[in-house]
Amino acid sequence: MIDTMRSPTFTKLIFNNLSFYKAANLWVFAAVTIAAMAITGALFIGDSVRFTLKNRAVGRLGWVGSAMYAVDRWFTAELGLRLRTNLNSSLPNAQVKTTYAIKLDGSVAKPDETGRANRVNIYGVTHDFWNEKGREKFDTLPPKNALINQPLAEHLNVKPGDEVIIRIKKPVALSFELPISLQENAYVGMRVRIHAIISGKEMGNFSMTANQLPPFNLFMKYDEIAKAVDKTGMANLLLCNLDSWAISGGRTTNLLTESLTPDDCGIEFRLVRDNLAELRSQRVFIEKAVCDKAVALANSEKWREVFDTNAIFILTYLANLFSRDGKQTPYSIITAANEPIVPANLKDDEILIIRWLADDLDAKPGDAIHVQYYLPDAGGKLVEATNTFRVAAIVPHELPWFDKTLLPEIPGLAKAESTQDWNLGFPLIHKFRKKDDDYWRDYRGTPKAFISISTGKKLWSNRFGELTAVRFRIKNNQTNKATLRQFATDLVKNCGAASFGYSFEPIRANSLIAAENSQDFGGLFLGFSFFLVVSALLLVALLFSLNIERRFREFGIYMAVGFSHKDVAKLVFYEVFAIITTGAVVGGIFGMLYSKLMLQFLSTVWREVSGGMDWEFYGSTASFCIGVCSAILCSFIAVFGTIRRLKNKSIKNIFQQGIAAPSVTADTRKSNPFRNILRTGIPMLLIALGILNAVKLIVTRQFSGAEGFFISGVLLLSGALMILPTILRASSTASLGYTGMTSLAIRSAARNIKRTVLTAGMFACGFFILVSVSVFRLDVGKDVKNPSSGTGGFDLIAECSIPVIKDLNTEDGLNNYGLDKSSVGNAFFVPFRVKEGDEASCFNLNRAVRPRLLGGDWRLLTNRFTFSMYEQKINVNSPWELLNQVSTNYENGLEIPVVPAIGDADSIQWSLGKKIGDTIDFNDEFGHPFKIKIVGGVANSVLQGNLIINEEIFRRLFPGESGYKFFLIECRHSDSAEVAKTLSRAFSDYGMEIVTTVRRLVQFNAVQNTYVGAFQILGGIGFLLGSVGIAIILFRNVLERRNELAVMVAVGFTEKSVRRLVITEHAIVIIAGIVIGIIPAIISLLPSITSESQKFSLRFVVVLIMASVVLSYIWTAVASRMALKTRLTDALRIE
Amino acid sequence: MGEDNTPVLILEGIKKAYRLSSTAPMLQVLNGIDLVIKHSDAVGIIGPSGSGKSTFLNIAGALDKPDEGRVVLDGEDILGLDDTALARVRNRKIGFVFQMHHLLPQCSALENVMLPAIATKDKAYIKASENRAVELLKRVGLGERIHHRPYEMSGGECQRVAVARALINNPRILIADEPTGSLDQKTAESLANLLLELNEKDGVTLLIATHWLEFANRLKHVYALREGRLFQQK
Repeated sequence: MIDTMRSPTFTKLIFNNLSFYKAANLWVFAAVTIAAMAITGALFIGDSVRFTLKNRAVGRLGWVGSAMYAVDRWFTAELGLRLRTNLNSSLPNAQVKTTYAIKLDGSVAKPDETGRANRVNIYGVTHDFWNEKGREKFDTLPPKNALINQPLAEHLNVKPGDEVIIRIKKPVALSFELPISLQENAYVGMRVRIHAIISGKEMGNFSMTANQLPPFNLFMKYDEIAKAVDKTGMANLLLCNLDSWAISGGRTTNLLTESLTPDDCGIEFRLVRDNLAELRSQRVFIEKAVCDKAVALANSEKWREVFDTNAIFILTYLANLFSRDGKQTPYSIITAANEPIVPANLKDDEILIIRWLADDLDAKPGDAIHVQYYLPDAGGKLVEATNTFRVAAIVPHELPWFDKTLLPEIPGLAKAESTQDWNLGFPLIHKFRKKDDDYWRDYRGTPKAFISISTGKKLWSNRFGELTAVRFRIKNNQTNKATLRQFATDLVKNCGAASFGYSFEPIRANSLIAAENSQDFGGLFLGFSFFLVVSALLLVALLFSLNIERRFREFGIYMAVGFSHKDVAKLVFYEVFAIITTGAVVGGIFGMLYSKLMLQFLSTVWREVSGGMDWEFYGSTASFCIGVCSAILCSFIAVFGTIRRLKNKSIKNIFQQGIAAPSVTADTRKSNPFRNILRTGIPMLLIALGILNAVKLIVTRQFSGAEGFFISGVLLLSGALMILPTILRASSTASLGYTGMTSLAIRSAARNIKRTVLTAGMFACGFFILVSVSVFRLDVGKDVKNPSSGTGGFDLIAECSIPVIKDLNTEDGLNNYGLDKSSVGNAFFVPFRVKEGDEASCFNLNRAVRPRLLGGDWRLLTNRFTFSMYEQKINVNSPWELLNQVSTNYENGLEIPVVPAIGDADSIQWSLGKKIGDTIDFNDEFGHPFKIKIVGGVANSVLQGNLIINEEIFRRLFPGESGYKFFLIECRHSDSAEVAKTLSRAFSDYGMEIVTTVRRLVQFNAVQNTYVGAFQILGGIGFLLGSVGIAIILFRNVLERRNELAVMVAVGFTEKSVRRLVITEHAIVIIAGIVIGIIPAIISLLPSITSESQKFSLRFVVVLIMASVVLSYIWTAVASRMALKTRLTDALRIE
Repeated sequence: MGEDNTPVLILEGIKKAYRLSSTAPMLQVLNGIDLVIKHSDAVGIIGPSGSGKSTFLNIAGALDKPDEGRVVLDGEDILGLDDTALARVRNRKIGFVFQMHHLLPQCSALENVMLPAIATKDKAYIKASENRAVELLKRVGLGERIHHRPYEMSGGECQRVAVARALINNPRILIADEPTGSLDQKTAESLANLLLELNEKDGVTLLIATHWLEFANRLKHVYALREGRLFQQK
């Protein structure tokens, strides 16, 4: 309706135009909406993924901001209260909350063994652990009942009321890796009832690592777990609500140290006998740092009045055998010490023996005695060594030698009543005689021999410590307990919390960082939606151009009445601005729906990418604005050319052109023979190169080199598109002979070569990209047994909750677990120690901040896997050798060790966001910082998710991580399924899970293949949308040629046959495009086609071809009907 | 509407050639045309189809530029003007009527007539032009059709609206290229009468290209365009 009361203005003209051309504008609006929807939707997906991961992280942790998980160190339950008190005093506004707990690794199984879950976190917690929601269920938890989280319940298929059996490794003071530790198979089994299933909102999915998939958790009351593992009153997990800013730095670390007592650190300073005090550790061996601090403390001003400054160092060990001249004394205690026990002048190869031993071996001073013992730190292997000493003297059965207190509290030994009760981590192969048993009964662990402390340290100090006791003589009878306790307390303060392996990790901050830096799904879906966006923008350009060209006469009138070019361009600009802006805003709103749909796909059809997680929608204002603005900008770029053309056209041309413009633009350039040769020669060369390259690769059977075939495809595609104009030109000028509809159609297609090539090219390129992207689908490959493949030549991967100590490559080691070499088919094991961390594989969308570390013997991996990248500055025979190259950085005056690591190349790049040479900050078990440096990456391997470092270095950094929890297994002489079954049975108590390397690779590959599939599906939709462009081009073609088509009708063609001609002409173009696209695509996919695993999706190609053809036919039919709606002969009348 | 005997439009040595393809020779459409049109003149240009009448009128109406020659409108050489200045010339000094009316279908008769006024972007002027537009429509016999859209009017009526549009800004000259070409005989006569009336009664200077000899003969001066040159017939 025109407002008759107001004068028409420029603005009114714009609104008039928008209203009048609303049908045409609606199509442009729709195309902009689609583009904006795809762009904004993709950004919303990125927001949603980050939002969900953050929510999961926060929900998972509840109120907990930081955690101190001591693994195998145990502190008193009261430490939390002391720390809280100290923190609240120091930070009065902080309202600090702490709680203690026990966390152990275990497995849970149904009593009938129909279901088993390994790698379960068994928590013993108190009421304070829970948030409000979780507390309700916990407070009603009866004895011998447990709460489990949803994932565990689903895995086991259990419900409240069902019974399960828990198996937990019993914590011991001494690492199982030490020969003198207990037997490895010390477990606690408990039968409990499931009281309730605890949800994520109730803190049921509590985890200290930033993994998106919740762990398996089982919760019981603290007292029950503590009693079961003999740790009543102790804990190994301390949780605090403070976030990292409060915890990090010296202040809170000092407060933690202030809160520690000797009991928390497992150290004791006790009176041995009159005037002799001794420092001991519950862990048997005392760390060097603690020993040094003790000596320094005793020498301090405060304590030198109390103690003699000359400390007595003691290192007591177990000798398997003393022997001399055929005489043998089995399993005896030997002590290394300094004065007064061992004289200073005792040489390194000399030994003092007690009278009892001298008599037993019939030895006298000067005789040689052989001492056999197991190396203390041989990584779980029993490696026996023998040293020969010369008897320097025979000492009487008196102090200071004949002293049973020299034996530390070795579990399994110290409290044994008789030699029959000994419980050590190795079989006792030497027989005890009655006299041995009598000795033990009468004198317990009284040492039978003594060597110098320096020799003892060389032989028996290990990564757990270098002494078993430090003694001080007390001056002036100052022997009261309070004084001794004070010394121990002062020692703890001097050592600091980190020395005992106590430090808080800012787990909430780490989780939020990991979520914030997660996989960029926004960018990913922008990539997936690339074709959709490009097609939509192409439609915007085509539709807008068509609309403008239909209005050229109108623009001519504007100029004829005095509007300048600029004015007309402005008019058009304002019109299109209104359309594009509203379209983009509406598209942005639709983007919510698009992203919700994609999130649904991520949870279902594309579940491999996200582990089947349910995603919560979240769209930020920033993403909405960016998406809408991007769509506006891109749409303007799409229409810019048309507006610019309009601005640059002369008025005369504007009047003359438009719909009735001649289809063929006169080529006014002079004919150039050189140009003609180039026009034909270059494309022929490209085609020839493409064919030759493909033939060469086929003949030499290089089907693994996908890139070569892809290049062939690209060359063929480029050449074919470049030669198409020449073919069209030739067909348009050649004599037709008998003229049929098809040849007429070909001629017509050749009229506007540029437009025809553009259309065919669009189809060809789109087709080629969508089909040949399949080359990026990952395949396990044919030769999985090849050591250079992604499996490393291994058949199985095994992971345990409870570490395996013994060497499974030895008969003895296997025997320990009821196996032998034949039962495992002579399998070869490569074991790894594990320091748990964030999953750094494609299964974890979070950024891995502290990835999982594996410590392994790199020599066992030589020539395994294929490196796609490694540090080449250092000259080594094998990149695995790079794991030896430890270096040092200096930061803030501190020496920071830099430890080399090798991982899977894709993990390094995508999960860690790192490259060769980059470093990651870590802390060792004692809280000392070190850096992991990426020195190599292997291609498409089963090592995804982990970083491998040298085992020796691992043991130094994390001595508390005993044993091996990760294995690569090569089944040399038997079926891997059988081996897997045997191992699963034998290690069921260890919670061993075994998967084939092929299956693991397939699981990893499924993620990337899902990405490729998503790209193809979304791209296919976009490609098909782009086929609407063909309809627009047809519409335009027909309207331009109405007159000539009318003449055809006038001379006798039916309108139906004219329509058929038009459709045929465009069908030829489409088919040409598909053929030009499909042949190079197939060539580029030859490696996939010939692959046994058939990763090439023929179905997708067939569906794409059929959909393209069908849809294109529909568009052309509809467009031709619309364009030829009015009687053609009416056009003649106008003429 | 201008002073007596003052040349409104002077065309000197106008030449224009086209080449249709790379191998075709240059086609000299206008081969040195000189023409002076004075105020209130009514000049007709006749010639067969393809003789270059439209080309000549486009050059005269500042819709195209010659290869050689001068075009002086109201004492100003317009060939040296930039796009904005030229648009202003077309807006203020020239009124153009085409063979097809080329009315904007989305605008009423009144709005179509006021289109040149809208091009000035002068709100006061636009407002003031509204009355003149109504007057012009009445003048061309369409006083009752002010608010009608083009599709509500006949071809002849639309062409009259086009004439009114061409006059809204009081141009110095009204150029018409085959204004009756798309009309039936009766309507064509009616339009021809209107143009002549505007010239005789209102002193509108006319330059009209036509192949309708009867109409041409009613104009004061008639030139035949042949072989790129003008030959005065009357």
